[in-house]
Amino acid sequence: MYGDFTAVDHIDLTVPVGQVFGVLGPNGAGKTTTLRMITGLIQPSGGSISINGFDLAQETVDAKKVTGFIPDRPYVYDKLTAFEYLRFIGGLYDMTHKDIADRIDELLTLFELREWSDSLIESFSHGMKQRLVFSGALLPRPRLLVIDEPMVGLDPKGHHLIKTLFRTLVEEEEMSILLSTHTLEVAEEVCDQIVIINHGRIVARGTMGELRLESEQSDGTLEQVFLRLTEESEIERDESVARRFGNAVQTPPESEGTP
Amino acid sequence: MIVDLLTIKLRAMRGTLRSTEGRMRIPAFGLMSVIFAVLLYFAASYVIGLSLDIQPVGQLLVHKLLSITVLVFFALLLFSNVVTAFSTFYLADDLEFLMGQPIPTDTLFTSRFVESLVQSSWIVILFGLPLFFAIGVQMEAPLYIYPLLLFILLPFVAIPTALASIVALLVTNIIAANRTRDAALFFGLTAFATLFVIIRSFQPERLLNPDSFDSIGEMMRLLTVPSFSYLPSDWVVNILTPLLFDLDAPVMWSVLLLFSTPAALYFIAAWLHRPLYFRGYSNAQEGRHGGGLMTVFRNWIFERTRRAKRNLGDAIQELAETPGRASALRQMVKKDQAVFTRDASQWSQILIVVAIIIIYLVNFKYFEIAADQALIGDIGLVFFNLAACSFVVVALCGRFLFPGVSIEGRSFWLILQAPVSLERFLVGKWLGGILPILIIGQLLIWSSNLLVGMSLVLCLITSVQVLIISLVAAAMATGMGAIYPQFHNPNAARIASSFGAVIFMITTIFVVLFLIALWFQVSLYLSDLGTNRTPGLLYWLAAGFGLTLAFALIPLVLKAGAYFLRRRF
Repeated sequence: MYGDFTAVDHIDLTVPVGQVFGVLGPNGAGKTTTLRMITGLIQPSGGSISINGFDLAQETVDAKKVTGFIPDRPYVYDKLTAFEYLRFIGGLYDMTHKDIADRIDELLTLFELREWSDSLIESFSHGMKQRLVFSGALLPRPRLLVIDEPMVGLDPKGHHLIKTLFRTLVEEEEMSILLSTHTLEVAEEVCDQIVIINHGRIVARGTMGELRLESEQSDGTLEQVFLRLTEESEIERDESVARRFGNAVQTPPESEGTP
Repeated sequence: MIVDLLTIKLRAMRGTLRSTEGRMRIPAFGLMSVIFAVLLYFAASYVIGLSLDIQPVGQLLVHKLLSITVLVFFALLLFSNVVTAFSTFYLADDLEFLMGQPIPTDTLFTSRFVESLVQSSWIVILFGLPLFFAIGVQMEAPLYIYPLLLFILLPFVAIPTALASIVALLVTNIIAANRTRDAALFFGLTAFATLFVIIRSFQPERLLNPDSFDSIGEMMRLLTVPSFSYLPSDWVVNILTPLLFDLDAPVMWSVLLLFSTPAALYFIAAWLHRPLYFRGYSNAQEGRHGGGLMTVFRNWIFERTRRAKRNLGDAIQELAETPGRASALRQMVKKDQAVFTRDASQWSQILIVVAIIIIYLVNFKYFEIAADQALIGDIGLVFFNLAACSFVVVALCGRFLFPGVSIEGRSFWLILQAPVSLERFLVGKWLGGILPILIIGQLLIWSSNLLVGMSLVLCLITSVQVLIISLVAAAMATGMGAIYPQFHNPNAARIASSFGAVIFMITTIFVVLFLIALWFQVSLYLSDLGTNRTPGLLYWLAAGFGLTLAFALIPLVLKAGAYFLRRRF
C-alpha cells in the first residue's frame, strides 16, 4: 500500500527450485513492487514471504543471505572501483576473503570487466554498471536471484550472455530465478513459468503452453498471448483503477466477472 | 512564462508539503522562525536600550551599530548571492530540461534572478526586520516606518543578486570551463574570509565591557564603519537613520541611488546575458565533471586510496591470502571513508572545518580577556569553553555525520537488500565518522585549555566530558539522520541544513547543555576549581545520571533511527 493506493493485492507466488520464473505485466501493474517486497526493499502491509524456508519478516538476515537482487537501474557507489565494490558486497554477505577473491576473479572474467576492475564506477557506461551489478548479485552464490528488467542497458552480446547464464545457473547450480521483464522474447526463451500481473493482481499463470491455452491463442507468440490476457474494457479498467485507489465505484451488472 | 517558471518551483514545494513529513514542516518552521525573530527582537531591544543609556553618545552608538549591521548584511548577501548565482544559473538540475525548451533568454534570466533573490535574501530579511523593529521601538519611531522598511530592504537585497549574476556570468565566460567550480569555491571563501575580517575588526566583545575603553573617543573609533558613498549599505543607513530617529527627511540622493542602482544593474545583467549566457552555461556543464584543481587533487587522492594498486591478479591473491571473513561493519566503514575522500564536493567543507577551528581558538582568547576582567570569571570560562567546544562538535556532527545515511542516495537498495540489519548499518555509520570528531573535539578542548593555562586535572576532566559528548552527538547525528533522511538530495551540504538537521542541532544542543549542567558541580570539585566543599549526594547522583543518560542515548537513538528508516520502506 502507498497511502490509499493498493500497488499489489493478494499476489500468491511460488518460485520452484531450479527454474526461471517470469513476471509480466503492463506498466504500473505492480511487478517492481512485488519484486521489491520479495527482496526486502519494501515491507508489505499484509501477507508473508518465505525464501528457502526463512520467513522474510522474522528471519530477515537469513532470508536475505540466500537472495540476490538486480534492480532495473544500476545505482551503485560511483566513487568505488569495481574491485572495491565487489569486495564490499562480499563483506555484507559475511564471506571469507578467499571465497570473495575466487568469486571476483571468476565474475570479472565472466562479465568482461577485468580491465576495468581498478577504475571508478562513475566512469562506467550504463551497460557496464549493469554487468557489475550482476557480478555483485551473483558473488555470494544466492539460492534465489531476483531481477527487475534484466536486459536494460545491455548490448546484444550482453543479452546473449545473460540468457545463456540464466539457463546455466538454474540447470547446473539449481538456482531459482525470478525476473520481471517487458522483453517478451526473453521471457519466451528463458522462462519455465510465467505469471501475468495487471492492476496489482495475478491474471494468468503457467507455462507458455498453458498460457496459450488460457488465452485461446494456440499458435500465438507470447506478445499475442500477453495482449489477449491483459486486454480489458474501459469500464473494467475504471473499476480496477478505482479499487487500487481505495474508492471503489458502483459496477454495472454487465461488467461483472473481470478476467 | 516567467510566472510559470517560478510557480513550478512553488508547486514542487507544495508537492513536498503534501507528504506526512512535509505537513509537519510548515508549522514547525513557522514556529521556529517566529520564536527566533521574537528572541532576536528582545535581544536587540536590550542591547539598544543599554546603548541609549550611555550618555551623551547613546544615539550615536545606536547609529554606529545600525551601520555595522547593515554592512554585515550586505557582505552576507554578497556571499550568499555569489554561491546561489552559480547554482541557480549554471548548475541546477532542472536547467538541462529548461535549456531544451523554447524559453527566451530574458525570460529565463528573470525567473532565475527572482529565484536567486528569494533564496539568498529571505534569511537576511528574517534576521534584519526584528533588529530594525527593535531600533524603531526603542527610538519611538512613527508607525508608518515599519511597512516602509520592507520597501527599503527590497532594492537593497536586489543589488547583490544583480551583481552576483554578472560576476557568475563573467566568471563562467572568462575562466576556463573546468575551473568554474574552483572559481565558485574561491569567490565563496574570499567572501567568507572578508566577512570574518570585518566582524573581527569590530571586536564586538569589547562592547560587553565599556570600562575597557580609555575614552569615549576610543570607543567611537572602534565603531567606525568604513563609510563610502557608493556602498549600498551606506544609502540604506542614510535613509533609515532619519526615519527611525525621527530626524530630518532621508537623504534624497541615497533614495535615488538605492532604487535606481538595482534597476540599472538588473538591465545590465539581462543585457549581458543575451550574448554570453549560453557560452557560460556550456562551460559550466563541462566543468561539472572534470578538470580543474579539484580533479587533479581528487585523482591524486584516488591513486593513494584505491585498494588494487597493482594488477588485478596481485590484488586477488592478496585478498585470497587474508585469513578469516570480511566483516560487514569494517567493509561499510571502509566504503564510507573511500566515498568521502574521493568526493570533491566535500573538500570545501573541510576548509570550513579548519576555519571553524581557527575562529574558535582566536575567539577563545577574547573569552580569556573577559575572564581576566572578571566579567565571567574562571568558572564561567571553563563553562563557556566546554559548551563552545561541544557546540563545535555538534556542528561538525551535523555537517558530516547527519547526511551519512542520506548520501547513500539511490544506492541504498544495496544496504536494504543485503543481509545486514539497519541497526548494524547505523553502527557502521557511527563508527565510520566518530574518529575525526573525537580527534577534533580533543584537539579543541586541550589546545583551548592549555592556551589559557588551565590545570592538568581540569584538562583531563573536560577532555573526558568532551569525549562522551562527542560519542553522544555523533550517535544522535547518525540516528536522527536516519529519522530524517533525504535520499533524493545528492548535496551533503544541503542535507546538513535541512529541516531534520535543524531539529538535530536544537535537540543535541539541549542534550549537551543538560549533560554539562548535570556534571558541572562534580567536575568543578574534582578539578579543585571554585569550591573545596564536597558536593552533596544530589550532585553525585546528578553526575551519575548524566553518565547513564549519555551512554543510554547512544544505542537508543541508533535504534530509533533504524526503526524509522525501516518504516519508510
